[in-house]
Amino acid sequence: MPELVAVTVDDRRVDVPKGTGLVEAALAAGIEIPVFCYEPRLGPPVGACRMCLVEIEGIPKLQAGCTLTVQDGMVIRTAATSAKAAEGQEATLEFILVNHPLDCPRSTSRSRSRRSSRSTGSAAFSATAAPASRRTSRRTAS
Amino acid sequence: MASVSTRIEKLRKQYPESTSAILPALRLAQEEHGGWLPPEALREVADALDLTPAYCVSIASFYDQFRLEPLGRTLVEVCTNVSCALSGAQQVLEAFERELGLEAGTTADDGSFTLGTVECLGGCGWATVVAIDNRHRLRVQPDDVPAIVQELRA
Amino acid sequence: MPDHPQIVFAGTDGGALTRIEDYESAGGFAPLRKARSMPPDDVIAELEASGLRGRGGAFFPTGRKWAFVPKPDQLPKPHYLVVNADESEPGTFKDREIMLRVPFRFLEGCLIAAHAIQCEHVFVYIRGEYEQEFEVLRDSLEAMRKAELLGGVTVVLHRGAGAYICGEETALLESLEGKRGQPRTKPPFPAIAGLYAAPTAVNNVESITTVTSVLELGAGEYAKLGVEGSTGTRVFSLSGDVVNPGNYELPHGITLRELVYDVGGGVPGGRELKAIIPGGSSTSVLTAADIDTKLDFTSLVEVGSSIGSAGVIVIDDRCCMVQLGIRVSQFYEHESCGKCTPCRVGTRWLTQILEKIEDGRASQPDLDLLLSVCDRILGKCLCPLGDSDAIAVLSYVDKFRHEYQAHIDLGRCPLEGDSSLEGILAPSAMHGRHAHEVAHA
Repeated sequence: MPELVAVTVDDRRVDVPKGTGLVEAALAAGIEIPVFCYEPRLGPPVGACRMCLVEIEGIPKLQAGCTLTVQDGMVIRTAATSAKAAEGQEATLEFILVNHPLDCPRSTSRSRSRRSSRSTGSAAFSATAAPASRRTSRRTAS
Repeated sequence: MASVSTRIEKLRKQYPESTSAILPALRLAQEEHGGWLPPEALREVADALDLTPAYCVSIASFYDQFRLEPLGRTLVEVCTNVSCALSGAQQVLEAFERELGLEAGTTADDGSFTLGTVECLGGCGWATVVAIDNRHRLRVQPDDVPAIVQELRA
Repeated sequence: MPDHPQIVFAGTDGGALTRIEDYESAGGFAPLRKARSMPPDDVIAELEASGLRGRGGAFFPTGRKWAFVPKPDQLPKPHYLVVNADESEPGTFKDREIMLRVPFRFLEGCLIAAHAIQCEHVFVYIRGEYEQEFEVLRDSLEAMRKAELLGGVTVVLHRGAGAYICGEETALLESLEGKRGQPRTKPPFPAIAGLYAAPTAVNNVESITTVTSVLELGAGEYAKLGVEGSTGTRVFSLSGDVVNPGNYELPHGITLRELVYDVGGGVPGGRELKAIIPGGSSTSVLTAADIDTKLDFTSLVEVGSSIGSAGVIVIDDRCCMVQLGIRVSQFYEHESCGKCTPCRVGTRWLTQILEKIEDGRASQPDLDLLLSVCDRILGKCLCPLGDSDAIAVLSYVDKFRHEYQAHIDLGRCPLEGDSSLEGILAPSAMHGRHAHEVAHA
């Protein structure tokens, strides 16, 4: 019987085996945290997309949930119950969409973002729209 | 002079893991190929370090000092970051553009010079800093440029 | 201005100690012998007692960092010391001068540190653009090897190849491992899993050089210099619109006024002081009203900025603060590694909005958008690079809001082409400008 740790995600208490990742622990509590760059079948989490930003009690800065292993007694708040996490998640989505065609095919992975682009579309394309083709900084992957 | 592969082999031994040698290896190969990394150079490095040429491209494309396109014989780079900018770097750059007959970011048709701008070279107190083939000239003023270019042309 | 004790540059008398015999005559290598005669943990304790905090920008206590490294019997893996000589923060040029003028004191510090954390492998990651400095270190290391001073420690001088992000410690480690220099998430921290996943201490050049001086003077004497919380001296890099730019080793706690006016000779050409960036481009800008701020960690935090890398950039009244925002944002945009969303996209977006403001095409909502994008970057990135762009731009708007507003109200730059940064061409804009002119030829 593996050692269990108790964690709380959005006020839901769940016991998971020690060493469980935060995203998996949330799933065990019935909460799906959107992740765009994390696919366990491809490798360890990288914390790159920032879609999974969560607020952890006792840590002032938002954390990329995918990179964390839950500790006993951890209290986690996702965008559902933390305004700060919601702001972080929405910021990430807006950054992705501001330079992204809105008609891209729907993702077939389990981790589909539930937010419609409609809510961020007006903000993203208001004052300054990024040109469709532009010289990307040499380092960026896109 | 030992071959590039032999010299990379020697470099490789300095590191507990051989992939670490890729930066000095690419620098070496670039120097051997006239200041840039043509496909043969990338292949040489890949073979010497048991990597793929594609991996070598992924590394070379990340770092500003590695060039994946042909370069002029002399590389002139003017720093235009904050302190140099405040000290007249744009005027220095424009002087080089006039003297070399080149736009910043381009190479002369005869392959003599490449002129560009760079980010902070760590010489802010001696602005404007100009790197010529990676050797730094300090306190460059626009009036110094014609003499510098003449010296480089000689 | 009274003569200030030279610690890092002790014995140089304004020159350089690049010959091993000269360095030995000046007392060189005695600190190393002293350190090697002490148990490693005692050396760590000495550094902790000195109050020395990292000189790269993070200001983390050096002794404490070393104490985090597991002992070899706790974790039997090779341990590493990695020295961050990737100095690339705009406005900062002190490590360069340290390596040129006191290379032996620096290398001696590497060996002392290696003894303290009980490692036999030191890597010095030196930015690729510092070619002359690399040659000086290479020659100095060879002289030390011949003099049999290395004591079984291998020191590898590893040249970078042009990437500001490789100054971030985990990106540096990635680069040193032969990968693209993209930062890692922390934890794990390098002290536990660093280079090749082994315990690694990453320290800045000035910090390591100061280690030698701490062993020489003793922690107590060293801690008498400077101020509480910021002990010792600091090599301040002074540049920009100032009469005497250069590196100046001064105790923590001197004021900006003393640095800029007494040492720096003030602003040339009869111009007015407009702004000062106190700790490299990643720190919040200050105005002339802040001139009496003390240069130490706490005092700068209290005025809403940071000591950072101690790169002090003086800006006079010819400089348009929107253009400064563009130039700084272009730098972060260019240097962004691309890994995380807010930095990759946000740095570019900030530059675009700032360009719109400068071109006189912006309306009021654009200024709100600028601040909003900054807020959406802040605290969301994988590493401090994205934050730095946001911090800088937020501070320019905060301190020079009227100037930003004037661009919008007038529909143009109020300096009308006379700004000292007018037309400055950034590397990230280089090809764009060429393409633009070709398209419109």
